[in-house]
Amino acid sequence: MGKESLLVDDYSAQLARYAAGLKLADVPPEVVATAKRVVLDQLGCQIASSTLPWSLKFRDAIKATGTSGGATVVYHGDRVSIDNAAFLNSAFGHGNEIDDACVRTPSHSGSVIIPAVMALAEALNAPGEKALEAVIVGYEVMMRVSYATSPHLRTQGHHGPPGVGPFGSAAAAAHLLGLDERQTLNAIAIAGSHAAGLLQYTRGGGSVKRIHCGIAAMSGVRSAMMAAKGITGPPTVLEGEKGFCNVFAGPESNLPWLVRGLGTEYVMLETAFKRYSCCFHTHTALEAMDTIVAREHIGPADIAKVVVGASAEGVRHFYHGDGPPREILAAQFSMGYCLAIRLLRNGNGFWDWREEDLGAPDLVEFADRVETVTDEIADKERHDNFGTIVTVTTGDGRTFVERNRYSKGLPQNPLNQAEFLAKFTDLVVPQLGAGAANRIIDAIESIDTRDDMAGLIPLLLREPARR
Amino acid sequence: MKGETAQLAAFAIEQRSFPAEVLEHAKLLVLDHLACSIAAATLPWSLKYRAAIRSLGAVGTATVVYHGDGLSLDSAAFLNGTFGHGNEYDDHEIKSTTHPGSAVIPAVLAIAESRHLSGLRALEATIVGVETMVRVAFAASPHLHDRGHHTPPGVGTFGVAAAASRLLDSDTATCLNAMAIAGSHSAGLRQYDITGGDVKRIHCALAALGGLRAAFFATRGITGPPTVLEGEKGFLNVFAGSGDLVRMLDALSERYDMMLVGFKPFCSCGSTHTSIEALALLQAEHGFGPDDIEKIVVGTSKHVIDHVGKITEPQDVLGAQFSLPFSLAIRLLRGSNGFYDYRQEDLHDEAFLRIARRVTLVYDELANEERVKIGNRGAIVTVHTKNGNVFERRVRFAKGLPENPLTPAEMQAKFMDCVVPRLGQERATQIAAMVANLEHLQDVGDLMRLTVHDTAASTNGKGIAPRG
Repeated sequence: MGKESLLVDDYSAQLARYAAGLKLADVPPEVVATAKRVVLDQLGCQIASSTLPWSLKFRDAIKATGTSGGATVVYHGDRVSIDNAAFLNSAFGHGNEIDDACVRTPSHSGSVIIPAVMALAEALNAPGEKALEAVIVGYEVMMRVSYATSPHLRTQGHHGPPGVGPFGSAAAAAHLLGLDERQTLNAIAIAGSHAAGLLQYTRGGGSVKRIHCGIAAMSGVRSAMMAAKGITGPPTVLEGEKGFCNVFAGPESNLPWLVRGLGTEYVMLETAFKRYSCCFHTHTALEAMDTIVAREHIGPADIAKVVVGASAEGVRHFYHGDGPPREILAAQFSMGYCLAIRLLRNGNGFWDWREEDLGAPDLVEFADRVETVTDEIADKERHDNFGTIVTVTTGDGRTFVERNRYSKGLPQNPLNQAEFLAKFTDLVVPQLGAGAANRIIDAIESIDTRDDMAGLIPLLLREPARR
Repeated sequence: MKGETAQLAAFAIEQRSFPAEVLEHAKLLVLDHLACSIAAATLPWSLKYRAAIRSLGAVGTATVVYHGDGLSLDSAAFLNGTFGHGNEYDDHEIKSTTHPGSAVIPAVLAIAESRHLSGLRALEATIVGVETMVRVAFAASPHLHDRGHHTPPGVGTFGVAAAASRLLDSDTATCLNAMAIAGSHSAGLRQYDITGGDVKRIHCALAALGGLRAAFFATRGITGPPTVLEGEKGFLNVFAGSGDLVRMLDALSERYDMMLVGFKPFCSCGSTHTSIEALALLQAEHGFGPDDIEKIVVGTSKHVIDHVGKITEPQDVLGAQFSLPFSLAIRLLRGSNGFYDYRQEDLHDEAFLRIARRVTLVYDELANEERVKIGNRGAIVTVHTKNGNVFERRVRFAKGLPENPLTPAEMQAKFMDCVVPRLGQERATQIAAMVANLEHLQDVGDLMRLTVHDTAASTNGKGIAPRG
């Protein structure tokens, strides 16, 4: 095997070597700190989303396929197979548009990598150090594949996470399983057959988008498990002529990106945390609006018109359907609706998106005053930021303009520790109470010293489900 | 006017009656799937996949053939689909490059078994599933394949979702959501063509898994884009670059493209079959042996060269099954290309390699023209013997295709050849008889019980779905 790898750079093999060999002791402290942050953030997202209507439907469907065994579903405490635990917890994690993201490359690594790692770490009762290593491995592999195929993957009509995610979750799971280089390469190669993802949901709607990380999380766990049992796949799965990058993203893929600075540069540090439960392209505009409102002492009643200039990609992301959004997901992608609930419901946090608000006259009426246009500067800077320029015109004819490039939560404008923890407690306290939220925070802070990942799981469950 | 995906969903749920010959063909598909999956159930890679799925903890009530494990519905469908496609012996529709049986049938059987549904319902679900899958494959053909995707894991999810929805008593709107959700599971790369790798064995099973799960999600109210096939960012545009929507729906519910699905007499990639047959015919006619070969030149289409011409010295059995040179060597040295003729121990045998290295694939204008126009995999084989003779034979459609079908006796023979070594003569006969009367079977669970080998059935009660 691997004849072709003699002819081209063996990028997949280099990633596998890296994934198999990573040691937490060799990882810079700020990367370890980021790893702990992404785990905590993801668990917060999962716990908060675990009782949303669509989350309950996914859970119900998985239970109907008749699975039992291996690992635990957060909050509910169901025991399902390891891959299904990864799937459901991921569906929860990505369930409400508040999980982590990356501006420069479209991936939601947290909802792919962490559910896979947690499910397998629980089943294996792995040490926390190993789990944290797996998280770093998973992020690095997933984000690098995303970089190498960006923006072409998306231009072709694929959604990033189910495309690039399986490689990351497979690498992470392989690390947890203690696979050697060769088996890890097979895990990554098998993951390639699972790579999927369509963007048609942006045209036609549907709650299926909520499982686009779950499909990837599950696939990676299964791929690694298959590799552990000796199954093989094409060792040039990423770089080959009929490999992922060429087939899904085309010949313009930037293959050297797969391994650039591997082991010394951590793309994981580019992970952004979301404060608002809505499309990431709206965040700079929401904060620009805050700035204008505070500076000019105006309120929603004073505003006659809002024009939001964003990159062409941002504008394409926004909801442009006929009439007001009829489902939460569409509302979360509607620039007008996002601004309306910011000004009229005091925020865009996790709990601010309510079914009963859909079609509320005050929101609909305000959203109608908002227009989105492509802004040249925002477009030019797209690969650095999700910047927007907000122009507010008041009823009495005054005009205020504010440009914002880096919303809060990005590496360029990070959340401080208090802000970061505030997001977590906001997500978790309503579900599990303050005591449990604090116990989870403490447990993740010291995760690298614990030797029983399974012991962590009861902290994530609602009271009657704890055993 | 309903969207194209919606029309397929309506067909899948609302079609009430099926022509007798279509029902008969569906029975052959079930028979052949059981033959292939039971035979392949103990192959080394099948056992590895089984071990992997078992270690995930997917315990449930659907039966894994031969072994008798009771797994969750999706995992049972996955493993049986892996076995079915486990040795390049399962059914195929060559014009659209797809393998419907190993995707659709394991999902159908898993659901039908767990819900104690009748054989007739299983057959009807098989028909709508295979029909949907083949039609989507035609719509995506040949671009999907040419772009480097493998067809079954791309188009199979839609067929499986349609079949599963029918069995789950979903209405048309729910089936449409199932197909829309299935689109998020569509996948498939052909890098294995170049390097080999066991992973290709699950390329139908992935569709079984994804499509079955999609159908369950839809029954619980999950939604997806209803234009998943035809939309701008839908499957056909994104994966294939464009789609022939007219072809997809042409004479839907009147003409059954399922009838185009053929069965394999050789245990290798379908693109090798015309060449194997041509060589066999030349050998029968002229009586040369392996030691007489100076060289073999195969003139064929770009597609065939691309698909089975890249590997001469395979490193694993799958590579051998995708290697036309090695398959011809097997023909000359073993006299057949059946289930038991592709063996790991032959891969490094110099006798096989010597012949494989003497095989050259060249572009043939006529074969290529036909491949583009009518979608066959024709080839012209020229054998040059050491004593200077040159023999030539062109085969356009290989045995087993609708243009040149296997007789009922030949189908039966393939089934027995596959199953008797695994389950014994008596059990094999019982299964064949039950499938021949499948439309009268009350409970598909009875069929699945027969597929489990005796020791497993008596020691592992979990493999049997509880009644009631």
